[in-house]
Amino acid sequence: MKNTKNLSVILITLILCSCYKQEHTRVNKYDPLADVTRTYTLAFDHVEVKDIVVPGYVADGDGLLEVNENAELHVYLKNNGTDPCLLSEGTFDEVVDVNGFYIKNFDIGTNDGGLQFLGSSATKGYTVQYIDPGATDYLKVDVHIYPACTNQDVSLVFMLTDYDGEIHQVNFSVHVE
Amino acid sequence: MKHFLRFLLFVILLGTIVTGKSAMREFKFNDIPKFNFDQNDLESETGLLIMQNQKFNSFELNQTNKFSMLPPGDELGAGIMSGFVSLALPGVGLYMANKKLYSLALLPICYGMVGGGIALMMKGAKSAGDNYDLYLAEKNPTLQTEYLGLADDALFVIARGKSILIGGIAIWGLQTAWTFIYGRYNDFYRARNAKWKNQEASFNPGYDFKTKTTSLNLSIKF
Repeated sequence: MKNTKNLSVILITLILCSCYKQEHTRVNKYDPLADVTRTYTLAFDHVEVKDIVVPGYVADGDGLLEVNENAELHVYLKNNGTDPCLLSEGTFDEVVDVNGFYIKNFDIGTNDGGLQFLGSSATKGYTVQYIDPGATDYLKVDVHIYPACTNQDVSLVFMLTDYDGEIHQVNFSVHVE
Repeated sequence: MKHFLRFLLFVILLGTIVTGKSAMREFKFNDIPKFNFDQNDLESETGLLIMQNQKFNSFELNQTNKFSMLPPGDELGAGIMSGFVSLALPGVGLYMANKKLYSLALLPICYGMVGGGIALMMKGAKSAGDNYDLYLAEKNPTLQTEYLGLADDALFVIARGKSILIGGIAIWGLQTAWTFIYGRYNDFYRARNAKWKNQEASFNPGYDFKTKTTSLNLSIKF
C-alpha cells in the first residue's frame, strides 16, 4: 500500500511537471517583441518624387515637385549599423509652416491609421517595419503643392521611434520647382 | 418376558456400540487436549473444558508467521536472482518471484513508456529545433509568431516525453527493487521451511471445573 502511494505521488508529480510549458526566448532581432538591444543609426539618404494623377491637377510624371501637383515623396533612410532597424511609429516633429506646402499624411508610423509602409512591402506580402543593416529604404509621405509655394526648399524633420524605444531624428529637405 | 428382556439388552448393546463408533469416528489425534497436571491429580482430567478454537491445537511452523504478501511455503517463487531478470525484462523476474500473472503486464508498460518517452523527446527536439531555426531566420512578424508557437509546442512534447520516460524508469526501478525484496524473502522462507519441515507446535488453553483453574500449554516438537 505504501509503495502504491509513493508511486502515485511520483506519477502525479511527473504529470504536473509535464503540464509546465516551456518557451523559447525571442532573440530574433527582426522580431518586434524580442527582448534585445539593436545597434544602429538612421540617416537621410535622398528623396524621390512620384507624381500622382488626380483629376483637375497636373501630373506630368517628370519626377519634380511642382505646384498644383499631388505627389508622393519617397524619403530614403539609411541604416548605419550592424542590426536591423525596426520602426514602431513615426511623426513629423512639427507641421511645416511653409505657405503652399501641404502634408496630407502626418502619421508615417507603421502601426496606426494612414500607414506609410517601409520599403518593398508590396513585393514581400507583409508590412515591412525594418531596414536591414547597411541598407536603404524609404518612407512615403503624401503631399500637395499649392501655387504659393514656388521655387523654394522646404525643410522637414522626421521623428521615428523604434521597438527599442529609441527616437531617431531625420532631417531632410525637398525642392519645389 | 425372558425373550423381551434379551431383546431389550440386545438393543441397548447395539445402541451403545453404534454411539461409541460415532464418537470414535469424530475423535482425532490432534483434538486431544494437552495440558499439564500432576500424576496424582487424575480426577481433574474429567472436568477439563476444551477451548473452542481447535485451530490452535496444532500447526505447522513452516506455514505461519510469514511476510504478509508471500504465498504459502510450497508455492514460493524464484529467489533473489530473479531481480536480475527483472532488471532486463521488467515484470518477468517479478512473475518468477511472485507467480502472479499480472506481473507480466509490467514488461510492455516499462518498455512502452521508456521507448515512447524517448521517441517523443526525439520527435519534439527535432520539431523544436527546426521551427526555432525558421523563427530566427524569418523577418515577417506573422510567420515569426507562427514558427515560435510551433517550436514552443514541440518543447511541450519534449517535456511530456521526458515525464513518460522518467515515469517508465521509475516503475522499472521500483519493480526491480520489489523483485529483489520478494526474491530475498522467498530465499529466506525457503530456507526456513527446509529447517522447520518436520517440526510441529501445539497451543492448548483449558479450564478445570473441579479445581477452577485455567491451563495453557505450548509445546514444540522437534
